[in-house]
Amino acid sequence: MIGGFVSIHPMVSALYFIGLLLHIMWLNHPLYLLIAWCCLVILHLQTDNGEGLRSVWKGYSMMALVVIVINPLVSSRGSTILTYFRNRPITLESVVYGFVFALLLITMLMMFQVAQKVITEDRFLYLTAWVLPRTAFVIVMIQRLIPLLHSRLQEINAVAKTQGRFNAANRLGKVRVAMESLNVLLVWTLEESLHTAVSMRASGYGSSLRSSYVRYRMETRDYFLLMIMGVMTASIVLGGVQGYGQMNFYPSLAWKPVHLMHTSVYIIWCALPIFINLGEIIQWKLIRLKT
Amino acid sequence: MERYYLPLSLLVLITSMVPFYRRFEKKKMTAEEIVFIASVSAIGAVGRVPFAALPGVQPTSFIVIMSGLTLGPQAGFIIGSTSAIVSNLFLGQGPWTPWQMMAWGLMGLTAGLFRHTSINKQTWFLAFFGFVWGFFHGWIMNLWFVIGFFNPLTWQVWLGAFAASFYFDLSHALTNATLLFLFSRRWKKIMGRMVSKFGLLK
Repeated sequence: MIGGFVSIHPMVSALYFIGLLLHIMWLNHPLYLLIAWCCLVILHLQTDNGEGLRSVWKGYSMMALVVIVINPLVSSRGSTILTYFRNRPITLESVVYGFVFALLLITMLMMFQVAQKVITEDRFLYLTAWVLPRTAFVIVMIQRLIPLLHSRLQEINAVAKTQGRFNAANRLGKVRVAMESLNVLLVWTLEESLHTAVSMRASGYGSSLRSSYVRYRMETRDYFLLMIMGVMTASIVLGGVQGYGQMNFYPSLAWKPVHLMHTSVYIIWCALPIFINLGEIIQWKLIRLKT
Repeated sequence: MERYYLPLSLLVLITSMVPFYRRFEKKKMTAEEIVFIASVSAIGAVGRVPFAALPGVQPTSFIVIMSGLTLGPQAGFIIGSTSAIVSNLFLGQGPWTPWQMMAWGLMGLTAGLFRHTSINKQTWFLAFFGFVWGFFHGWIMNLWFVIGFFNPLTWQVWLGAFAASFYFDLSHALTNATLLFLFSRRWKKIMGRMVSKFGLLK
């Protein structure tokens, strides 16, 4: 998908994901986590047909499994004893804790995955440049240097091959060969970089504020979204402070009954990008119908 | 309270990095200094390519330590933590990014503390330093997972985490020690020459 949620202003989408991350970490009631999880699955499907998810779900499941298995084994806190394992009590609370936090972990990792699809590298740098201009500049420079250094390394290796320097037998020999290439790369790059700096200065580096190459404009819908997000965050936080959407594990499981209003606002928050994407699709259909 | 360890730890981490980056942003720096920092970080990112034939051997930590030693704690922190951001741009950002920034940043920073001491001329000391940091780095990287997802944090959890990452940490530590023992003198010479030639980071 090109339009929809992917196309909103990077600052708004970044704020959305920061908010979502905080909500996920804070509101740990399984119902809330499941809502967030479902919405993220749909969002993954909408953004890249689930391609990104397909490549990582095995790793995620492994990590979740570790949390599920290890938690009850190492903790004997909790008041409801289910069974004994090697004379250690396995409590209901620690089992539930393991499952809930495994779900939290997966949801959080999925959020980061989809956030990277939405906030692509150039948007990430745009945002960084806004807070940390010099750091963003350094990162851009590094990004340009990486392919350059790759090609330099190839050149270095080609020369080394003609000199027959690649015949290392053991591990230490291989390390020496590799470090030899890296040494050459270091000298070469540092010398070159200082030339770059001289020419940068000649073209006026540091004489005025830097401008950004990529520009994003806040549109009406971005302001509108910001406003909705603000209102929703306020109500979610208000309910959260009163204890809604959270679960206490020790000494025994405890949670407040579901507050319909609070849960609905949370669902809307999680589904916000999905709605935006759907709205885009519907708009397209309408335009097509008209023509 | 334990439920909030993950968000709280992230908050503490990010806040503690603010002063370093603030200072880096505000400080008056010449073009040379900025390009120098970018080049060293880029070498840190590309450095793993020549080592492709040696699984588990990565020179990034070596480069971070060497840049701390020659450029000082400030630049060491920036180079270390920026290398983490850059390598995650390719491998994927996640809740581990701030931890990785901290781990490599502190590695560069602590190396920088030894810049003007005479003990850093002893390669055995540098090898020891790198060896210890191989383990520290792994332990810091374990933290986000352990703090965030296990409760209560008994000593068995910590022991299990250390045991699970022991093999990787040991290989990291041995790599650091070997590289620092064999090549630190030469790198210090090369980088030191550049620093004095262009009057960098005084």
